Amino acid sequence: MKALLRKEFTLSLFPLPYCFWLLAGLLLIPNYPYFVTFFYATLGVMFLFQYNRENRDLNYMVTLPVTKAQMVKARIIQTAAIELGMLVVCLPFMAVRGMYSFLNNQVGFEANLALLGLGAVQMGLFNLIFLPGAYRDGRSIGLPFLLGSLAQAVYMLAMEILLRIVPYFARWCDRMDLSAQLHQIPVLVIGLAVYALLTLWAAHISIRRFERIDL
Amino acid sequence: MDALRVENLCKRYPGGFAIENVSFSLAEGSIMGLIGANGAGKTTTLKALMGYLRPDAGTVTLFGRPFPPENTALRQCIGFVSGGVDYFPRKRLSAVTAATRPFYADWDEVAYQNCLHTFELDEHKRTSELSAGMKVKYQLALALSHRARLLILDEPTSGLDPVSRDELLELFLTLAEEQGVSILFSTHITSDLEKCARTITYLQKGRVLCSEEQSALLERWRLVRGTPEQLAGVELSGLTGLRRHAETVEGLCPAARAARFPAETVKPASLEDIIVHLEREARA
Repeated sequence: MKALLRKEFTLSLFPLPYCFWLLAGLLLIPNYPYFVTFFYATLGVMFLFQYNRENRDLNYMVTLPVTKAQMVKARIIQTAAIELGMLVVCLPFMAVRGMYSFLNNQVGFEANLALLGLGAVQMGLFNLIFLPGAYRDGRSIGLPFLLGSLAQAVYMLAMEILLRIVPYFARWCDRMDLSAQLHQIPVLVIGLAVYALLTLWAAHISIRRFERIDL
Repeated sequence: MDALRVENLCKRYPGGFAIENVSFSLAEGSIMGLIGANGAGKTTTLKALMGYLRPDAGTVTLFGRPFPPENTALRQCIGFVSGGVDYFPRKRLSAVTAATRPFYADWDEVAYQNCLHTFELDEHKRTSELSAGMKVKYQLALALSHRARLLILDEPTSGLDPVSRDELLELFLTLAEEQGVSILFSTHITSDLEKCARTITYLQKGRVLCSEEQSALLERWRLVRGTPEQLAGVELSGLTGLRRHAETVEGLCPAARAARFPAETVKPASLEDIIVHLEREARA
């Protein structure tokens, strides 16, 4: 598995998803639906799959002493690296944005810890739809990406509505001051836990599906 | 001990069997040719025994041990080459090798460098810059550099020029004779098999028609070829894959029945004669 991960982050590595991390800079835009930032991470994941499909990565991997389950696990680990990396890169941009907190975001959530937690759930939801879809036949990624993106759009909309109707969200999650951010820590922790659960579930289904197909 | 034993391997698709009850065994240090017409099930057999297709039934034993696809330790003993390198076209060979090397505990850098030298491969080239023959050779270089005890090769010589093919077959013989490597390779180029394969497994429509020593197979058949005048009055219905033209009549007959035909019309059958006539008969 170590060798497969090494291959994943050298031969199979596509730089564009990592360049997309810089789109965390969208958090600096005063009025913007910040959930879109996490969409770019998932777009990067789709490019990663596309890059490896066009480079016939599967034809290479069948020559190696690895199992199908290991192939899926390695790719999902890189997927998680791209997505979790996006969350980390968001932190400095959030800090800068925090200096201009008086520019209240009129579009939705502020760039705060709650946004990161909810963004993690958004990417986990995408994983649950995209990854099993992509591993259904090991080649088709267009439709799974479209469905994953639609799910994200519905989720973003739902979160913005909840921000306005759930008292806890309305009181604590649309602020950037330190005391409010401390109250957002449970949202971040639960969000990361939900992300982990959704991604593990996606991996489980993906492995099962990929093992069923003929290469 | 057998390097590889395949028993009753079956793969069924919605349209019917791709392979049915395929069984054969490959002795250690020997070369087996897997032969058959296009669509006979050669690639399906190789992929099924490697676990890349899910067989519906059957068992595979490697060096006396059961070989489920998830056994990555046993897979280290195998060099699997399916055509030439057709992946990561923009990557240099050095990058592909660097990614491949860590997968093998027994990677032999000296053997790899020797292969590069022998095959005249330039590591700085991108995989897309290699010719068809060089692509196969690079794939083989990777397979040979981790001390594989069993090489499974899917049509390794197709697309190669005669000189490269000859070099490759020479290499197979050297590996089998000097290093005890067992080689199973599929091909539809019968002359390749005549040069190096000790045993032949012949697939027809997904079934094993025969799996035996090449010499025994050649010994079992005779080619009958003559003019209509030479064969006038001789019962020809017993000939397999009978072909009649204005000036030639040709067919295959079992060696035991060759005496029925005029001696000047009976010749030893080549592998190609046997395959062509058996396929003709099957399609008639």
